[in-house]
Amino acid sequence: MSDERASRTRTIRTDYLARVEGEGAMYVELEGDEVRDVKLRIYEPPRFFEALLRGRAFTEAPDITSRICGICPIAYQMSAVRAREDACGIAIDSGPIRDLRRLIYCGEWIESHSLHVYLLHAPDFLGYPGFVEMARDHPLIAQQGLQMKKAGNTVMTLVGGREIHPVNVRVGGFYRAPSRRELRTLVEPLERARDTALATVRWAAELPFPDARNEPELVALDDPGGYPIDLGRIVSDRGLDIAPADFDSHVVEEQVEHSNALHARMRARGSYLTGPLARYNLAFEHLCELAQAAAREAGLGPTCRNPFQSIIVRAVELVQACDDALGIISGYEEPDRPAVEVTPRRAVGHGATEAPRGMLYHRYEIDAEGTILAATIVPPTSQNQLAIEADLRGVVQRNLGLPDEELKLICEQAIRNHDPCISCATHFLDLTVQRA
Amino acid sequence: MSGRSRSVVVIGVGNAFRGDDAVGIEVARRLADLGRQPRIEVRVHEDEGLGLLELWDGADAVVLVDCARSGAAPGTLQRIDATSRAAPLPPRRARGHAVGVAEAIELSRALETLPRAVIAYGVEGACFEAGAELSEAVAGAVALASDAVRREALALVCAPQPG
Repeated sequence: MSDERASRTRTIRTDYLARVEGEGAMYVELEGDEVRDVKLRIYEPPRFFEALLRGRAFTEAPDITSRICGICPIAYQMSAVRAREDACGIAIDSGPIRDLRRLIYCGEWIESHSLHVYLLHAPDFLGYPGFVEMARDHPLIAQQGLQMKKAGNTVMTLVGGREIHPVNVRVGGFYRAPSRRELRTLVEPLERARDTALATVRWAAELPFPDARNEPELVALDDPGGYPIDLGRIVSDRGLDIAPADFDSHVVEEQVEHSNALHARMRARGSYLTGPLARYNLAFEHLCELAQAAAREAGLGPTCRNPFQSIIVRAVELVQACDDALGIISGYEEPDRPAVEVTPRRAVGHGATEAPRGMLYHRYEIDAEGTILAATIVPPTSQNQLAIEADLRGVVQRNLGLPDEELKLICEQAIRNHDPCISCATHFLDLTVQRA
Repeated sequence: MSGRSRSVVVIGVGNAFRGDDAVGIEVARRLADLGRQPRIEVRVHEDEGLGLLELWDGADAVVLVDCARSGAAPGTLQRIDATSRAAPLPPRRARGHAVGVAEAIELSRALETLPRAVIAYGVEGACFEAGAELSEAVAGAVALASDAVRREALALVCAPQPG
């Protein structure tokens, strides 16, 4: 490097990004006022889940894949069971089994979003290094987070058998369906959680938001019957409208040198974003009236393109998930049998559902006995890596004048806007900004 | 002495599948009989740390036992009284999604839900490989740690209520 170039080089380094799931690093290189390179470097070791599924019985996939993540095990179970049922010619798109699936998924959204909104993301906006320090000055926020998280856990435990890595989900439905009376016990905590969620939307709306706007292609499921969670076609704001079976035809996963997670991109158009912002922009009209009203009161219209405002969107989705869960409980009729029979056949099946942090796609090839021959799992964070890098590039470009330490913090916040789950994608982020 | 015994919860913390990280769980298993004493509860906690707040909610005292990594010789037993002294938080950079024991204690302290006595025992670990058994040094320390936790819990349950 020449002396002149070296004098224009600015290097900012954070060894690990806190308050994300998993281990990764960020590298930003600046030359003068030009952002030369941005890399989200995921060095979480590969976990080989797709390989260890090969040779296992197709009935084992929900329990094996749920172990990929302690924050979103239901997402893994639901994408797995839908893919397996798809391979066997079955679609459980309505009825009490589907209702129970959506209910336990709402529990996971409540648990995951409340953890992120109150304990992981809020300290960024309030200027604390972590939630413990924040809780000393803002105990109510931490209490609300814990109360909300507990409500979600309660749903997971009642429907799933336990709150982490639930054991009651199976291909075809559940091992045991809860009674109406059991579900009624969830009403009071969910009503309280819904009230807290509404207050959270109002609180989040008052936070200071850096100016940012990004225009990645937004991709989410489209459920004609409601806000996308557990089923639907895959749609985007740029005309994509495909069945989950066509995911492979439109999305390509590529190895890159700087990440142990594969990078997903649209074959035709490149990077895209899944998750709360995508769902909100694509399915605003499917939010319940309460959630829509809360969003409007918070100053959000049917579109929201500022990733920093994802904290408001997550709060709106908390209202949605609580309300949705209460509606399911109110209309619940116990199924005659907790699961439908699923007979294996030689086939390929696809499943896509909405994990709290974005769309999760599974594909399984099984033989006539139901043994898994091949498995493909595309987690939301793999899909979002390119969009996160693009976001980061914009944030750095808009904040070149900030001192290194402040620039580093806003970069970390920009990453946490997307609640990345690096464990899923392959766990801390090492952030380096090099200025030339 | 007030004559009223305190409620004490003993919590073995760890991961049964990660070598020496299972030592807290092993100690709790050995103390199962202790949980049959009035006003003493013995629990195992394998999940992330936030769940600890619920486990000690309402208890007068908590005794935690977990694997430690302080640089001491493997199998070394350490006792930390976190009742009034802040538990050392991990450095900012080392905090992921998963919440650790120290963060759970300090969060509970901030929310004024921490039991009146908080004692943590740490057994220095050496091996954290997936699927590994306890290392020889740590397996050899289980009896000592179990005895120490038992004495601590019995002393706490018999101790006079402050105030």
